[in-house]
Amino acid sequence: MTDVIEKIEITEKICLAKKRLCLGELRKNRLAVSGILLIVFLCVLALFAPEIAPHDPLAQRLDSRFLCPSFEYPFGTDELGRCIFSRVIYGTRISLGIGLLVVAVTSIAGTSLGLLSGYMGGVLDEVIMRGIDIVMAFPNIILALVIAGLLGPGFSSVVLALAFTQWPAYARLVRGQVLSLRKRNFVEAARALRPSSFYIMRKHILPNCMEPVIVLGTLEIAHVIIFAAALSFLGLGIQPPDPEWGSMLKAGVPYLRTAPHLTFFPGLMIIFTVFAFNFAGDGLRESLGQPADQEVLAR
Amino acid sequence: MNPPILSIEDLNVSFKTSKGIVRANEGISLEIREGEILGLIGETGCGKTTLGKAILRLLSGKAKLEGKIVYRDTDLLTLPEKEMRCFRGKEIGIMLQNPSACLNPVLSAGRQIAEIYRYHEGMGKKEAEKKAGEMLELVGISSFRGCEYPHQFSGGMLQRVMVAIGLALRPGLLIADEPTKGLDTDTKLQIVELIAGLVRKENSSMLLITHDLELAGRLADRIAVMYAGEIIEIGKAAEIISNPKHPYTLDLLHSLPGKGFRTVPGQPPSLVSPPSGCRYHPRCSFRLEACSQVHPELLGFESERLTRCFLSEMGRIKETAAQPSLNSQPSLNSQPSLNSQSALKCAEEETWHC
Amino acid sequence: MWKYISKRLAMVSIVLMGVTLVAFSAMCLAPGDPAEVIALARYGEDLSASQIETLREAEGLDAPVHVQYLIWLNHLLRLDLGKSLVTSEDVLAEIRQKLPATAELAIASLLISLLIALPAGILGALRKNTLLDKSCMFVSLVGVSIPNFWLGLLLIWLFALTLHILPSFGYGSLKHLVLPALTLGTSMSAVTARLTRASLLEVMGQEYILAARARGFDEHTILFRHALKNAFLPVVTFAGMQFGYLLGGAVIVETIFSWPGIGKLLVDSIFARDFSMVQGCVLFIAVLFSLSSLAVDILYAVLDPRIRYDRRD
Repeated sequence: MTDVIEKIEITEKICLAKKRLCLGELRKNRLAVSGILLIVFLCVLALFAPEIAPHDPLAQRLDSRFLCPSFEYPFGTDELGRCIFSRVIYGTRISLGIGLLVVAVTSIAGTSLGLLSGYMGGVLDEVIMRGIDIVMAFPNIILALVIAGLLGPGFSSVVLALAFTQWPAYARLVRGQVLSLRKRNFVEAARALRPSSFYIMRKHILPNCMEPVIVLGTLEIAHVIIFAAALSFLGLGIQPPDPEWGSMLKAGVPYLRTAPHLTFFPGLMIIFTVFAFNFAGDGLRESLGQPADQEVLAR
Repeated sequence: MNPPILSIEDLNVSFKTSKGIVRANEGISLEIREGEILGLIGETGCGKTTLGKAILRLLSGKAKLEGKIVYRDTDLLTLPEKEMRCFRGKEIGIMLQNPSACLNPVLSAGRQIAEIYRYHEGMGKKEAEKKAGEMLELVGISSFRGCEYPHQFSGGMLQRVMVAIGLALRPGLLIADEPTKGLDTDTKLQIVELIAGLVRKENSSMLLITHDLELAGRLADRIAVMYAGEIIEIGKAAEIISNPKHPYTLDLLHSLPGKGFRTVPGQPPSLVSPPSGCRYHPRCSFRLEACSQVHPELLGFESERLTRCFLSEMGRIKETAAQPSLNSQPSLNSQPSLNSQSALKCAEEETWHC
Repeated sequence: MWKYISKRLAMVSIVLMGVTLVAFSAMCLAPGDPAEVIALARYGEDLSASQIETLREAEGLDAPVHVQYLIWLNHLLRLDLGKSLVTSEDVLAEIRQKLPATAELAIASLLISLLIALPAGILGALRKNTLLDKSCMFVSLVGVSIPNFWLGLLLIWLFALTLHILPSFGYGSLKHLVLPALTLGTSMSAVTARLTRASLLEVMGQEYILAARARGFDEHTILFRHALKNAFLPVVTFAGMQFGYLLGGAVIVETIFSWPGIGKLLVDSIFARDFSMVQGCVLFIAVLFSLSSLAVDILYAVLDPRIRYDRRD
């Protein structure tokens, strides 16, 4: 018995040592560091939007429509004379909000289902896996589109639609991890000591699944932000006058020839944000030494 | 005595890693003669596989090689990569460890042999396949199995395919790295006798890398023992087995099932910061004060028999060490007298395997 | 291999069954009374309650839900997807009419993405950690981050509105195809390039590549005869997922470029609240996607002898 406990302790020590190593590695990874710095910058933008934005994002000024970027309006004004710079900054709140909310919901739900499916096996596993297969039989943007279409536009329907389409990625990832972990000695040893499945899942399996889930979650934020913008771009997400980047793009399309800055800057902001999360996620993945497999690459 | 087919002079192989420089091979000097089988033995991680790969320059780009590896008047280390390729497979064949990983899973066994003929000898498809079939028959696999894929073969069969690939071009020298790893005793003997038979028939030479002292003793003409990246003893196989002069070789002999079945105490040292003085001194039961301070040279009274140990220099191990022979029975009486003290010590410290 | 394929087939049929269930229940879960929705779509405003009731009976909407599902499924098996709520056109006929445009776009995009991704990924893996590799991977990371709708707008602005060399929207000639296909293709290539690189890197680190080198083969032979076939296995599986991305991306790209395909039909139907058309489109896309995954799995089995000659067969 004692050597079993020792074994578990050693494994946990190794895990801790590995974690410390990763933080060191992460600091060395320029990609990850720049991604994380960009994310911090974006969070500051979102939190202090009222202080940073020079104008009210909703204030229309019909005498100053389609102004080119200038000192007063750094990104120019739109078709209703609103300051694009201010709108873009306020847009950070909506996009980051959707991204974080969806990822929080889906990662918790997906991870729990993946844990259950992988650890319990049997009928439950079959049911969950087929459920995943069914959801994944629809290309996810299409499923999100239809759900958002049925629910009607708005913040909550975007979140719901995206949450419903994105959870299988976590469940599949975690299930795969659990299946490989179950065979490992320390889990076997822990099972010999404590027969409560919940305890083993929480104490031994979950902590060892967290690294890939964190990587996937970071990359998923990027993905969700693009999807949310796409829904809004198609007119099924956040509606004007709310300053959402996708809907700003949509509003700018008719004026693409005469005033391309209407579409240029919101798009640039999407790229910037998505870029930040992709960088951070990819850097995180590299420093955790995970392979760039399909589960993470192709969502 | 035959002239050497391969002579290694003062070879140093080191890798730069995040933990420091790993000196996998240090000051290796060896000769393999025409028609000779040389056994290279040592524990896992002592650098024997590195040496095997270094001969064909198969180590990764991070490896730094210094010294000379001369194959029939050509220094392999100074050759440009393109000319080096002509030596690989054609002049020197190598069977790497773990055949199931060394065979491409998506190509059939026959094709993997045939493509050697197509590439090196410019044969047509038909002709190459015929030759591949002959080669398979030679190693004891019926040629119609050539269209099968690696996962369809058993471990012993895979090793036979590896033999066929290694010997396909009748190389002058075959390097066999742990050809018996993971095989059961019966298959082990079959494979080893197959390789040795083919090598002897072609009058080729072979470097047999193994941790199995018994196997090396049975097959090889000479044996070189490696420890922590160095050669610590070299000599005729029978002499090494019957009269080991280095304490490590002695300990290895005692770890054989028929010779006491006792593990060598301690762990192999790290190659990043090897112990000072003699690298074996922390585990050696005969260590003297000088052993931890002065690094012994590989010396011997005859050029055929070299040892890297102060004791053997002073001739002490020779007079004290009893001579365990291959067929001695594991009984207390046959324990070498010199070792009885250390054997007691070992018994306290070490777990006995059964 | 047949065991593997039949297992996959069984799985796909279960999934397809689930897909029909989802598509059907989506209709039921849509907000509002379905009879009212249909009446509204068909006859416009100002309907009396009795008119709606008549319609409910006529459409069989008063039956219990599971009976409705079975009836609907029965129609479905006879390839009857119902009629559009708005135009009363046959849904399947409408989809079939839009299919060639989407197929054209999908094939062109796939070709473009592979033409970009495979060389970039292979080059990146072979020149690992050189400036070339790093810049390739940086560009692909940027590529992953660019939303395809913005890329489409940028391309329209550049090639159609500023340089005037390509039409910005429409369908018909090869010229019309260039921008939509380029948009979809380049945005897909980024991920494929990364996957190809990662996969090839993994293969190049395998023992059998070292073993091939030990047989004296040159790097060219090793790459083309030993490495690529292994490295492409995950890329092939990925192609199945890519197909889903293609169909999804087509929705956005077709909308931007007014490309008369299934994606645009779907978006237009959502806005027109033409639920039977939406249902038909989604079902069609899901079935197409599932079948393409099946095809990819079979292709995988053909390529990988470990599955093709499974000893358990």
